[in-house]
Amino acid sequence: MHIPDGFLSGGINAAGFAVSAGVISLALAKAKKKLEDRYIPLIGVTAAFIFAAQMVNFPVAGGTSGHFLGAALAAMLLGPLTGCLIISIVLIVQCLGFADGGITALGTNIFNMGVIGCFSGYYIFTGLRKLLPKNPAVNITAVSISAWMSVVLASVFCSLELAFSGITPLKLVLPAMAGIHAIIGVGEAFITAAVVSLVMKYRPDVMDFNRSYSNTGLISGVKL
Amino acid sequence: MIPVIQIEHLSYTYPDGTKALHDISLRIDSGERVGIIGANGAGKSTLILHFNGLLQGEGKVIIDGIPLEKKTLKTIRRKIGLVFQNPDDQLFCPSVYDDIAFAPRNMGLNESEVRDIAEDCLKRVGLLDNSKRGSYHLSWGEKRRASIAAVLAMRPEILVLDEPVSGLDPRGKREIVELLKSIGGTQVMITHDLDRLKSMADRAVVMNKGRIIADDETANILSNQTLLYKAGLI
Amino acid sequence: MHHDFIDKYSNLDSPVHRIDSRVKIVFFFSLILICVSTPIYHIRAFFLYFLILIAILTISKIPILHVLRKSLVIIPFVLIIALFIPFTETSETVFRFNDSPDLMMNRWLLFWNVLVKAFISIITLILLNSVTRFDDTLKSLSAFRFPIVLINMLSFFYRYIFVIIDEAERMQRALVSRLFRGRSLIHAKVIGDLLAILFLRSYERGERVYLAMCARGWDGQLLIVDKKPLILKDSAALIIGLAALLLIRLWSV
Repeated sequence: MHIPDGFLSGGINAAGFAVSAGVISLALAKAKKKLEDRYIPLIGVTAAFIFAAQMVNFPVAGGTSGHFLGAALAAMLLGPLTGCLIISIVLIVQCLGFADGGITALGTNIFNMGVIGCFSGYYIFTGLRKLLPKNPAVNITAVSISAWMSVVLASVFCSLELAFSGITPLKLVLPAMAGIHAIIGVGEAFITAAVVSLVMKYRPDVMDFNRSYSNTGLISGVKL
Repeated sequence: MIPVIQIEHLSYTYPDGTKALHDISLRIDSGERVGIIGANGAGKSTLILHFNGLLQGEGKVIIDGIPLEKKTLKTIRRKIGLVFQNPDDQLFCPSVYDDIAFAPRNMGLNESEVRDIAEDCLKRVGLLDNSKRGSYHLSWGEKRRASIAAVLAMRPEILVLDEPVSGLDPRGKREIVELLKSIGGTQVMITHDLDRLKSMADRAVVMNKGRIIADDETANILSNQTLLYKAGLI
Repeated sequence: MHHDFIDKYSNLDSPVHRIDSRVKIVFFFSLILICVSTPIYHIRAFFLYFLILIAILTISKIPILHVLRKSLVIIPFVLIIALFIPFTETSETVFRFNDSPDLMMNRWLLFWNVLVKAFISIITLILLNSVTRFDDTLKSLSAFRFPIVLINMLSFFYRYIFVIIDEAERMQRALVSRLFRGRSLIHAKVIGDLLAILFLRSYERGERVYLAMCARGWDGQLLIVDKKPLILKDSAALIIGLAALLLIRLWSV
């Protein structure tokens, strides 16, 4: 889903940069106000974790393989705005360090995978939690559904951008992209559910929805 | 003479309910070299995290005559140089130089003063040629020495080390022992390495299950087999 | 384990490596921007951009195989997206490509256009991280009003990425040596558990790093990025480089 340089029209790239820069500055401003400086190393290290997790490949039909995205996971663990920061950091390194995703398309890639991925994953999850009865099994189902949705939605936006740049008609790219990501999303759903359930078991205090930012329990929870 | 570290009736319980320290009292004088020994989970690391207020339990911690509280935290953290057990936690900057320069920069020194201090510290631990490298690329022994240099750069009055020789090969251990000897001053170190304890510390404090069960000259502690067995050290 | 796959060869010594990293960032980013905005029928321009890259590659003594190998990881994915293009009827596209109207007549030309631009950009980025240490690149971003907090987070990322990958590899080896073969979805649970542990370890490492920073007198001040003025040689290199790019671009209008 990493769009390279040269594919998107100038307008879409500019819009992508504008929206992503806006969301990132919002996240940083929020971080300055709400979060404390202890989150600076934490976000960097957690982003490194997401990067490492993205190296996990799983087979998809037709001999290709998909990899874990982690946007929904990051959002559920640390909140949607912090999640956006984390995914942005991963994408910036992938672009500058590996040429994976173009520099002119960086804003758009951050929008698709960071903004759409994190916000859809997080709010579909919190929405489902409100609607459904509260028990662990239902919770995990909600996690899976929102992780799956976040990947599919990100790919839908990716197809829209390619189509609007005149690269390919929407009726061709949308089913292709959404279709393949509907399959990749299953892996995403399984892994996200497994990670979230284990984290809830061992360190429920770190989960975003179990924690208020004013709570200072974070560091005192360190066990050495 | 006032003690450099004075701890009175310190107790600490982790948020999950684990009791880590029970009523610890300890007094360390200037220039002493003290080893803290004990089995895994005895509370050694938890204890030293109280020295500079990274953890705060019930009881009194007085460093160099200054009681530890919120407004003295900054002064006390400058006096205590804490070397963590895992150098990968300690060295968090992209390059070795940045790591050594971290503390002097926090003290508000200008870049040329920072450079002088950093180069001096790197020279003392024998890593001057590695200053531009990333810590990730160092060997474990080099990382350990870099951690010590990073702490020395604060010019601390008391050096506190968490297992400074663990995970090193014999030569690496020897180098650390010699380095610590050359640094001198007040030193408190946690260790499992009874063989090297005598050359590193004159006094040993034995901990077991969150309590201090013995505090004596190193030679006396090492000859007391029953005590060492009870503490899970042999 | 030994990883240097982000900025391999950035520690070499060459005239290109010695140039200030800010200059290199501006030049390489401009090259990508100018290349992407060049109309496709100016094939000479693309040839010249490529020639510039080859020249830099030669001066900087970076093995060409390294650049090709690194680009091969990305290019298949570019091809997959690009293959949508030639097999599409022009009338079917929603919007016109912003390039030129007659281009829409020829989908193969558009295909070629997209591929060339993507390829040059990929090579440019690989060249940038081969001639500039990654932490220098990050620090230099502050010169372009990139938020310092984000640069700090990126520095922590760069510091710990290999530590975490090593940890993941050790865990994976432990799995494999107990005869685990994670090739099906049923095993996603095992992989998920592994990632959960990896997350908790990373999270707790983040907490310990914070403690280590406090222990060394951190009071919320961010890592300092020293701003040195550009020396004459670097400014000259920047001006010549940008002038060359602009000349090629203007010549091909």
